[in-house]
Order: sequence, then C-alpha cells, then structure tokens
Amino acid sequence: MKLLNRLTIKNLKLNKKRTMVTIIGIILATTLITSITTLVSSFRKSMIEYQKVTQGNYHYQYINLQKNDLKKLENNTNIEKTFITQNVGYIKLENAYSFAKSYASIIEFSKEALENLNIQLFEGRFPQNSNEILIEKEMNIMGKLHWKIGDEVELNISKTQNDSSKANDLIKTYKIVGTIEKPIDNIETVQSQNYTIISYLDNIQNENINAFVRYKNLINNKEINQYEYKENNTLVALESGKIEGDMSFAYLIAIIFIAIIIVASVYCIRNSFEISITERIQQYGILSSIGATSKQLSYNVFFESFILGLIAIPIGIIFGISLIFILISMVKQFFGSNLFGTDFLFDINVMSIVITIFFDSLTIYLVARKTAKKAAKITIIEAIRSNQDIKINAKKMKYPYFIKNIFGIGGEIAYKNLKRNNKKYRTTIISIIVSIMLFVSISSFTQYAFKSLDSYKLNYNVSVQAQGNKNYKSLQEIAKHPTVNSYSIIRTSNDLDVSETISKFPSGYPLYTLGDQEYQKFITDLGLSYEEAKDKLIWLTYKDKNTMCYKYFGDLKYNKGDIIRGKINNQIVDLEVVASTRDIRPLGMSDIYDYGAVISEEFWNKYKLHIEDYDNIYMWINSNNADELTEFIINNYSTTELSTYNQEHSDQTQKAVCTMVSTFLYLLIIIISLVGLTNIFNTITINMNLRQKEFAILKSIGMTKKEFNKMISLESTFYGIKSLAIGLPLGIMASYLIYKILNTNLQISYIFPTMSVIISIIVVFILLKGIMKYSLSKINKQNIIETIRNDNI
Amino acid sequence: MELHGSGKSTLLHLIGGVDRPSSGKVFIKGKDIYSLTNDELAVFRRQQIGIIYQFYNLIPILNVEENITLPCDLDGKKVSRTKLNNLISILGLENRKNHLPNELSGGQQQRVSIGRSLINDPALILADEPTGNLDSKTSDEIINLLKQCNQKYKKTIIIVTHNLEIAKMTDRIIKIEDGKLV
Repeated sequence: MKLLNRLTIKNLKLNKKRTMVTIIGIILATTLITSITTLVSSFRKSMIEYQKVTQGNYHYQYINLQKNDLKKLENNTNIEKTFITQNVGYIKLENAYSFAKSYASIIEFSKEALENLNIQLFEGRFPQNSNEILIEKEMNIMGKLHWKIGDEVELNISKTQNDSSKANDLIKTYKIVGTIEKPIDNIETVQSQNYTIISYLDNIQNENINAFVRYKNLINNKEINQYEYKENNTLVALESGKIEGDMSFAYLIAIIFIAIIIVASVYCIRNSFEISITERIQQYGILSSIGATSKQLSYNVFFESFILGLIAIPIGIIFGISLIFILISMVKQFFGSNLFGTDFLFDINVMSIVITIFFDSLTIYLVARKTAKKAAKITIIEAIRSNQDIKINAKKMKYPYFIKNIFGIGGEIAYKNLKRNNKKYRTTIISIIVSIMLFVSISSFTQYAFKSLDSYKLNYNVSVQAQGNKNYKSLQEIAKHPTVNSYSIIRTSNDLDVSETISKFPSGYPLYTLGDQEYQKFITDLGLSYEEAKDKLIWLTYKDKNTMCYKYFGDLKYNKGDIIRGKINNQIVDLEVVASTRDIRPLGMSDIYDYGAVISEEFWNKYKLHIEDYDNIYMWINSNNADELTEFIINNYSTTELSTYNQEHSDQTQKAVCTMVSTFLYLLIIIISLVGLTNIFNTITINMNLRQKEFAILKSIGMTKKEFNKMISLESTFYGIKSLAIGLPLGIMASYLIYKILNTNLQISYIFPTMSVIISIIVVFILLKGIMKYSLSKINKQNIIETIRNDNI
Repeated sequence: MELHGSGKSTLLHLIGGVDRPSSGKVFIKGKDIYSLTNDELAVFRRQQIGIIYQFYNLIPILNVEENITLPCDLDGKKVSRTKLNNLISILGLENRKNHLPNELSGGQQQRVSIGRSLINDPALILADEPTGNLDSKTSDEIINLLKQCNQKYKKTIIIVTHNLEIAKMTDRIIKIEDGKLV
C-alpha cells in the first residue's frame, strides 16, 4: 500500500492545478458551512447577551414563595443563582392620566435583583434600605405626582389591588432617592399594567417572596410544576433551543437554510472532483490494466480523499471562522460597540464544526469513490482511452448555419465541443448554476427579512388620538411645540360616495388630510407643486396585496389623469387623480390605510367635508424629546379628549433587535456572494486549464487569434446562457418556496428578486468572458508543443 | 496480422483481460479468465500478463524506474535491485532512470512499457502495435528488444501488427480477417 500512497501524493503534487481546484472546492464548501454556523451562533450569543442585559439574567420567576420554598431553591444544585424580590403592596394613583394604569406596586429588591433585572437609573441612586425608593420616570408624569428626588412621601399601601375599603392599609413614609426608566414587564407579578416603585429588601418576610432563578440545566427544572411562575421566554427559548411558537418558525427557516447550504456545498465538492473526471478515470484504468485490484484502487481513493480533506478542511474552517471574526470586528469598528445596547459577540460553535468536518469528509470520500466506481464499471480499455465522455453519433452533426457565418470556424469548433464534450461542459454549468441559485435564494430571503423588519421600524415616537373635529385645533397647537420635528394629523372623511357611479362595494372612497406640514412634504416627495395638487386627489394603492381589503375589493387602482366621479354632499363631482403612489406614504400611513386619496386642507374646506364626533383623528409625531412633549400634552390638554402614547421606549428594544438582525442579514449576503463568486471563478479557471492541450492543438494546426476569440465568445455565451437559463428559474423557485414558508407567518407579498437576477446575469458574463480571455492570453504565451506534450494538469 | 479494424487489437485486449467479450470465453492455462472476479482478474493480469500498448500508457507522474516496478509493487513483492538494473540496462535506459514520461522520446517510452510488462515475469506478453507510433529505426530496436526477451527470458510474446516486416520476424503468424482466423 505504501506505493499507492506515494503514487497518490505524487499525483496530487504534480497535477497541481487539478489538486488546487479540488482543494479550493472543499475549502469553499467548508467555509460556507463554518461561516454560516459561526455567524448563526454569534448571532444567537449576542441575542442571549442582549436578552440577559435587557430582560434580566434569569430563566424563571417563582411567585408568592415562602421562606422554606426559598431554602429548597437554595439547596437545588441545578440552580446557578437565585435573586429575590418581595411584594409590599399597592398604591392608588388618584390623579392618574389613564384609568388603565392607575396603580403602582411597591416591590423590595435584593442587591442581586437590582443588578440583574436591568433597572436603569435615570437620576439619583439605588435605594440602600427599605425606607428608600426609586420611582418610574413616566409614573411621575402620567400620575401627575410631581415628586422630586429627596422628597419624603407618605403612602397608603393596600395588600391587594382594587381594595377600596382601606381598612387594611399600611401607611409608610418613603424617601425618594432616584428615578428609573420603565422596568421590564416581568418584575410585576400580577399584571404589567402597573407602575413600579422599587425599594430595598433588607428584611425577608415569610410571604410574597419572588425568586428569579437561573438554571444550570434548563431541562431538569421540577419547580415549574410546584410554584406559580413567569418565564423569561426569549432567553429560555434561545438558551434551551426549545421549539415553540416564534421559535419553531425560526427553526423552519434554519432548516431551509441548512438544506440550501448542504446542497450547495455537496455540489461544490462534487464539481471540484468531477471537472477532472476524465483524467481520473484514465488514471484508474491504467492502474488496473497493470493489475491493481479494486481494493487497492478504493484504498487509493480513500487515501487521496484523506489527504485532500486533511489539507482543505482545516483551511476552510479557519477561513470561515476568520471571515466572521473579521466581519464582526468591522461591524464593531464601523458602528461602535454600543449600537445594539450590547456588543455583537463572536462565538464559535464547536459542535457544528465537528459536524462540518464529518460531513465534508463523508462527501469527499463518496464523491471520490463515485469516480472510482465509474471507472470500475467500464472496461479498462475504455477507461484508458477515456473517450466515454465524448459522444459522437454516426450521423453528421447538424449545427445552425448562422454559427459558422457569424463566428467562423472557431464558432463551429466551439459548438461541436459543447455538443460532444458534454460532461465537462455540464460540470462547469452546474457549478455556475449552484452559485446563482445560492445567491438568488438567499438574497431573496434577506429581502423578506428586511421587509418584515421595516414594519417594526416606526418613524414617529409620540402618537395622539382624538375624537371629532372639535379637537383638531388642539392637535394643530401641539404641532407648534418646539420639540416636534415632523408630524401628521390624519383626518378621514367618508363623504365621497361612489355607490351610484363606480361600485356598490365599497360604496365610498375615504379622503385623508395630513396637516399642512406633512401634506407639503408628501407632494414634494411625489414631485408635485401645491398648485398642481391642491384640488386633486393623490391616490394611495395597496402597499401589500395580502390584506383583507384587497381580498374583498380587488385591486382598487387609479392612475394619473383618471377621473373619479362620485357624490359629495349629494352633488355630483368629477375628481381628477394627480398622482398614484404605493411606496411613498405619509407619516403614520405606512401600514394601515389600504386605499383612498390624500387631499389638501383647502380641498377639505372647499367641499365642506366633515367627520362625526366619534370619528378618530390621529396625530403622529416625530419629536426630539418624546418625554418632554408627552408631559406637555398631559399637563395642558384634557386627558379625556386626547390619548397620548409615548412610543420612545417600547421602540428602543425593537430598534436594537432590528439593527442586530439586519447586520446579521448583511453579513450573510456578503458570505454567500463571496463563496458564489469564488466557486464560479474556480470552476471556469480549471475548465480552461484542463483544455490547454486542446487549445494548443488547435493553435498548432493554425487557428488564428481572431478565430480563438470568436470561439471563446461563443463558448462563454453558451455557458452563460445555459447556466442562467437553468440557475435563475431554480433560484426564483427557491425564493418563491421561501416566500411560501415565510408567508404563513408574515403578511407579505411575493417580491420578484429582480436585483439579484440582474446582478447574477452581469457577474456571470463578466466572469466568463474575463477568465476565458485571461486563460487564452496565458496559452498564447506558452510553447505549443510543450503544452501538447504535458500530461500533468 | 491484418488490416485495421479486423479485430486483432480487440482479441489481444480480450486475452489480456482488459476488455470484456460480448460472447465467448477466453482460456488461459485451462482457466476461463472471464469467470474470475474483477479483482482476481487484476491479480491474474499483474502476475501472468504484460501488456504493451501502441500509446505506451505510462503513468505520467511516475519516473522511469517507478513505472517499471509498478506491477511488482502492486503485487506487494519486493523488487530485486539486480533484476531491475539488468532490465534497465537491456532496455538501454540507464541514463533515464529518473526521468518522467513526457521527458522521453516515443521509443524510450515504449521501452519503459516493455520493461513494465517484463518485471513480474509474466507467462504472456501482449504487444498491441508496439511500433505503430514509432519510426522504422526505432521500430527495429523495439522488435529486437522483444525478440531478445523472447529468447533470453523465454517469454511467449503475441504481437499485433499490420506491418509485414515485423510479422516476418516472428515464429508464427496468424492472420485475421473480419474477425476470423484465416
């Protein structure tokens, strides 16, 4: 066997280019898998860290425990750590702005609890004894308490909420030592509708103890069956990998991903072997003609795969890991580490690397063995002659005349080459197809992901809701507040009746006004002037065809110049559509409002449009100080007339997650593009190298440079067209499949991957022409006869 | 010997066990060689048969010495140094021992393949147009070499050729026409 080992190593060394292409193929496949698993596990680790920081570093909160329960938890070796809080009681906020949020609960926190439950101090300091408290910043405003740090307040504390008797009230004086941002929901044991007052736990009572528990092993927790509990859902799901709800959706995506990536990497490896299959089969033929047994041959195959794997897999793993490491470092460098509220962490998943090694080795071995088996199937003499790849029919091959006319003899040879030398040609094409498919499907996935992220992003941070026209003035006043950057006030009139003129159903089209500022901005975005637009309609078409309205009413679409005839206040009017828009939308109108028309305030007054007293008017505000604005509105306007929502804080978490996910998606598409490009490059280069001999022969019989160029142009056109003709439909199909799966969870419509299709077409042709031309110029510099005689590639 | 396409190369390949007959059997030493498994056939080939092809079919990545000793190595036998040197000197390749096939002339490559066919002391040497690719001077050298093998090593050599001159140098001539002996 030693001889065969030597033979294999020699073979690999002398056929450098062939070895290189195979090694690059394996490296690519390994890099692809490693980088993606590393990216996913880095993403997961970052998300876990983010959850720990923002939602608290615990798995379960056990509620209403007694001291002996606490003892049991402390003795449980499966519990990594426990920190506790204790409910003291509730106070009623008599002047509360919102009825729904008119209670505050007082909870005492241990030192660990203060540290681990993301209590964000706004001003002041943490409490140090049970007579000091932290209050929610928002509570002070919304509850109209006007408390300040340093104030001593006397509180009536009831044991339960809604206890009006006040008989059991405990009266206690507290000192306010600081204000905090809105704490996490799970701190509240009864309902999260309460405000929270945090004090320090220095004396544990025997009741109302809440224990926040972090497990070592999440699966072995018996306590959930014993106590009332609240789960830190996302953290538990991320750390345990439990499949449920949103997570099962994530797993579904992961499975599609894995499938695509496995197919791509198997083909990557397969092609890197297949491309030199003729040479390989010939080698096996000669060996067996002089008496190598099939056992010796398969040992040879095994050894070769082993050597190739030994070189390529570690390089691939290092490449994959460093790629992610570099990309993540770049992200940090670029955006600073506090972009997400926590770092985007780098994490290597050892298990997935072990699986990658195993999977790659198996693929390499199977693919290599396939060649040996192929060689064993045909007779030795056929293997040696190695002409089984070239199919020549007895009949004269027909080829289109125009090819000879346009491309000359070079074209004719190219055409025959493609037709007869089917296998090599096919391998190159398959390789390009795989790259195209990978690119189109993954980039289409990221497109959907970005789109669904978009719907989370709000471009306003305060919203005000009012009823009837009588409040319109107040809203316009609020708009003048100095912290308002931009705003829209959306009034909806249902005065336009089209039931007799256009359709019974819907019988009218809604008309919207936006407020002066937003209207001006909106028409500017659409490229209209005020004079052009003021008396006309700007039609809004469906942003998404996946809505109920679309299903009922169909595609309600009007284009520029269309006239809508309808009735306003029983008078027939002909209204001209001046523009039609789908993607350009006014502030606050991005998701809802399926159809209808935007009009000017002047239009509203001219036609004397009206709304009922119970109709809602919405105001969306982008403010540079949402807290100050909210306070201003609450203090100056009747809380029964206006409902104000401060979205600033609920938005922050989502913003961080969105940024994190989109970073992940960008990194993903970068990896896929890199791998796809290298794969195409690798395949085309080796294809040209393997054909050096053929080119040299053609040159030796007097083919001119011009004819060569024609031949190359035709061949690259054929390669390009054929691989695109197969690769693009496959990629589009895959993208549709991804859409179908995503669509069950996200309400989005199919996006045709136009951009990635165009990119694929351009890149494939540039690469094909470029590499072929380059190889040709290299061949032109070589000695013809040496190239012909050179058996090693 | 006969014209091209009459089936002589095919016959030779069948005897050598590198092709498969669509019908009929091949008996060597009283044994139907195609009843053997592929592996048994491979072992049979490397021990009993030496094949010389028109286009040499040397392993391009092995040098002269390695190409010659390959069947022996495959058999797991130790190559006798003296025998190898002897053979190489008969072949006239003393100065080419470490050259790769593509550094050799056609005649030299053919001599390497003769050496390879002889190294295992096979019962039968099959030569398929061994001189078909060579000029007449080199052809003579190769035929002389084969004759020498025949006499010195007492080997049976079957040569396929359409060249009458070469055929005349042999002990026995069999003519094949359209796949039939005449």
